[in-house]
Amino acid sequence: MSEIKRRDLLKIGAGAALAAGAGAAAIPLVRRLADSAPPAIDIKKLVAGKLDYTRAKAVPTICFGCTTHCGVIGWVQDGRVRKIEGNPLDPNTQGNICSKAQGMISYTYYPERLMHPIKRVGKRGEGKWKRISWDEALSEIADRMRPLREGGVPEEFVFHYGRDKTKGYTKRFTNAFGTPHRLNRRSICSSNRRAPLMSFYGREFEWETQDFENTKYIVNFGGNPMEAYQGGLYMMHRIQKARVDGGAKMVTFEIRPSATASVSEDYFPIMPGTDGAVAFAMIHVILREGLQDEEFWNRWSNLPLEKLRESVKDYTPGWAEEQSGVPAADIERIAVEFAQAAPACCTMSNRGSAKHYNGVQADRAIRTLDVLVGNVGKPGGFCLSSLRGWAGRYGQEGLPKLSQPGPKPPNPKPWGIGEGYDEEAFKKLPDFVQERVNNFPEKWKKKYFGELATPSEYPLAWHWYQMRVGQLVYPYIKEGRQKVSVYMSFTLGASYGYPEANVAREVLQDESLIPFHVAIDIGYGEQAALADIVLPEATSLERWDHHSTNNYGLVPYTGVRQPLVEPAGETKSVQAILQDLAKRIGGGMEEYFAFESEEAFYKEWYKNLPVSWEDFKRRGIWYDEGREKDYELYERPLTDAELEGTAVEGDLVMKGGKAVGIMMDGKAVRGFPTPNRVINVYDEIWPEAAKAVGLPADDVNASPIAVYDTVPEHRDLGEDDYIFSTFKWNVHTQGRSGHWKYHAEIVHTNPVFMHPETGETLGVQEGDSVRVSVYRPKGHTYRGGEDGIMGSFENHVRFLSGMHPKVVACSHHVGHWEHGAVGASKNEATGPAEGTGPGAGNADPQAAPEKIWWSKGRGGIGGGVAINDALPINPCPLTGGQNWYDNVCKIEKL
Amino acid sequence: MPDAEASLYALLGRFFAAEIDRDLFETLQVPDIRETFEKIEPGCTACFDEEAAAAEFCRLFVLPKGTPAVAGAWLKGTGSPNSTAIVGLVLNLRSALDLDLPDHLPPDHAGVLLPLMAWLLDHQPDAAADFREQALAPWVAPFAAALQEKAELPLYRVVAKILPALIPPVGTS
Ligand code: SF4
Repeated sequence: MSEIKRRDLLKIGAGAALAAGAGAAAIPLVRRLADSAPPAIDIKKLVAGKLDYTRAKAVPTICFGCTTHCGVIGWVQDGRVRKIEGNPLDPNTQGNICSKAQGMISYTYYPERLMHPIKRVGKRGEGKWKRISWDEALSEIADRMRPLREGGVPEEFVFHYGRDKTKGYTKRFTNAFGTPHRLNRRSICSSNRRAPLMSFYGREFEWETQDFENTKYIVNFGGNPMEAYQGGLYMMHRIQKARVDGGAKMVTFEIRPSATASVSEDYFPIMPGTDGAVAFAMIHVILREGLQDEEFWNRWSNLPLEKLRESVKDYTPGWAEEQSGVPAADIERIAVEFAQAAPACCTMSNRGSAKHYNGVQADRAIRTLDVLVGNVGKPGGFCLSSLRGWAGRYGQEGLPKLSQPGPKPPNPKPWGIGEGYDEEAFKKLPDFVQERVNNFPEKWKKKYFGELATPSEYPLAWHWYQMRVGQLVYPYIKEGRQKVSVYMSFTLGASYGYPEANVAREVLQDESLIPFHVAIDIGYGEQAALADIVLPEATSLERWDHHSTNNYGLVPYTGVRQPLVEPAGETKSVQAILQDLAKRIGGGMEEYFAFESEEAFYKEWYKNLPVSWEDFKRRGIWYDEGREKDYELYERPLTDAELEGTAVEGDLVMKGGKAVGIMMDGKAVRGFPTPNRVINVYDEIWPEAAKAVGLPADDVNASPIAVYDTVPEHRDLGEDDYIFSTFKWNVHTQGRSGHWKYHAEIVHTNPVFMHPETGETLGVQEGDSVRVSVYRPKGHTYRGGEDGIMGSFENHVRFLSGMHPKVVACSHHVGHWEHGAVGASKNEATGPAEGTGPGAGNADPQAAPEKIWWSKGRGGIGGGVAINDALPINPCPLTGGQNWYDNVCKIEKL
Repeated sequence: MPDAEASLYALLGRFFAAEIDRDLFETLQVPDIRETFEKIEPGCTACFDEEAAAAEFCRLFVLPKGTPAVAGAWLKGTGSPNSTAIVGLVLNLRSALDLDLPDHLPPDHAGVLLPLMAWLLDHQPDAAADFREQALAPWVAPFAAALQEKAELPLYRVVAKILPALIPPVGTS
């Protein structure tokens, strides 16, 4: 039919009116709730206009655009969040935010957001779904889960999260269910930097808190706080203030001129995996020049200075130059400048130094620098501040105690043989695993919960706390190390973002390995595409959370994430989902979820704050303004209350079999929260773990004191071998922002960056296409030493003169194939004009007149490539941290 | 009996608010409806497969890469109210008139806007014209064009053809 006439329309209307008049349920009519006559309406007056600050409501909350968690204020008008600003009361951000904060508005309102629970109707992964009700979805999930719990095999339920900042709420669920399988992605991210910190300073200090505001000198080994760093936003304005107002100097060692490198006084493109060499040489110079703080070292470190001197005697600046390419004269100069600035100086490191085979030892060397110059806990120095939780931990003395409302479910039993252990689960493990665990020392037996949660080959992934080895979860399931009956992924993008993401996809696709997969997520991405049921989650603008973290202002603070608007469509917060699910599973699980509302739960959590709940919500943040800064916590005398019930054994002040302090100059002081209350520059835990898992004693990771060794695969690099590295942009998160329209407009592709000289050697010009082919790693790692290319990808070349010439690098946020039109950078002629925005002005924030202008269909550069299939799973020995930056590759011009 | 035009809006809204089910399919068998639908797309009212209809609804209106039935996906340019404005308008109308609108959908969703338009036509026709101009006309045409192209189930193609005939783009009515 060529044209539909008005009379056709009226005819359909007449039919519909007839049906509606006859009460046809299929034509639901809008009804008024009131009986009174409706007022006359002037539509034009009701059209919501520009953001009007006199009318909009400002609600403080905590941003979750990334894992930094900044205090923000959302402006809500006419039912929508219009704009995000920084919360000036947040002592960490001091009112600053980054562009990704506005991305939360995109995330909340993007037109392709999943709004309903869905259930697969085709084959898994085929993309055929139907909408189902929450009741149907949760009943089916509960029916699948209940028999596991009732049948005594709760461990067959695996909860695997990517980003969980519910501060223990999901653990409440897994504990109530009885499974130890609450898996995370810490090994993908930060375990190699956390482990050295905890080895040095104790469990309570897995994250450092440099006093950037007052520092004079920063030596940065591969950290990128100006762009992408958990906590970067807390750091960047302080670093800039110190530099601009205080004349501080920053030195950055990096493989490419990052945003941080660009604001540094000195930037050195460094050979990947050699940061440790530079740090060792700096130690060498400081000792040679006598610039160490001997008093501090002797008082607080557990290694005689002479032993340190002996260990670094060969690590000369000349040697370090050979390793790293950083000129010896500069290393000399930086070492001296750093030590002379002490104690107002600090090191900084992150994945750049740590995500290597030798990265743990590199970070231990870097941490040694701070101890050597005595800047630990000093103004302008390398400080350690109270972390999360406010449960009376070290550094949290005197703070109101905040804890999740009870009753709290017990932790599951560790797996092993004997009373208090889960023998049944343990006996199902492969024999070689049982044997290894049986030979573990008691301290590890008590922390062992099977191969997915606590892989026995990586005891230092869970010695201090449960850091896990997420990238091995799928290979281990494939090997049959753990039977999985119900797998629940929560805000996880493993099938896109994990190394060898194809293995994750292969396992998720296989119903004999994962019979039932539930994905909880805000959007429909690559992980959800391989689920059986997808539950749509509320965004951080629509839900509650507890927030507390280390403060670079060195005063503990807490904040609350609170909903600015109701969850969109049928989405629900993860808390509401798990509460409902627990009730349906029953069997006592529901007792732990018996609170009347989410707000009531969080109100109870904060009940000890010395401000009213309403006032706290109004401010969004609380801290004790009169509290002393966290300087030299270790020198603080134990209070009379803390001394009660203690006994002095040797130097240690003991309570209940645990050291709680140390005697110094005849006084009981706190010391550090390590077992011996001092800084463990020397730590037997490394050789102990190596011995337990059969790692040779001469492996770099097995040394009790930091040592250097070249990354195994970098030892005999051929002329045409290059090191492949990845990085993040400031407008993207690892894998959760590729579909944020405005951010994708800024960065949507991931060229292969290389130095122009590298291009010349390879015979490629800017814009040429190349294939990057990556080898499997060497050394004692997963499939280490296997020959041949592991995977390849192709993209175009961009030159960057500041790069290290032996390195090529790509970012890794793009090239999604799910997540809708923006994520996939596909612009069909009839595709939606994707995009969302703050909506503060007249111009349509949703509209993108050019749509996805960078798509290939519009003659653009396209959306980049997913590179993670080509990057090998490469866990660091002992800690399991993914060695992202060791990969050796070949480049071919196409 | 409700007004014919209002009933047409309500009927169309139903296609976006939920899957085509047996009730809706039977309603389409009312002769006036069936005849016209068949004239637009022959064979469209002949048979019905509930599972296939549910999957098609999900593909088109729930999952990404479909044809989201929300204003926010299709509005272009700067001359019309943005989706934030439309959301505000709907929420303001709901509270001013005390209306019971579907709450499982975003306020700028066709499954909300079309039934709301139906109510206005029945009760405040002057406001209805303005509402159509503000909340529907700016985006229905590109949405309907995409739906026509992507829909595999003929009934959605019929709806996609009716929509622009009923709601011409701004400036063309
Ligand atoms: S750094 Fe940016 S995205 Fe991350 S929490 Fe802070 S404001 Fe949000």
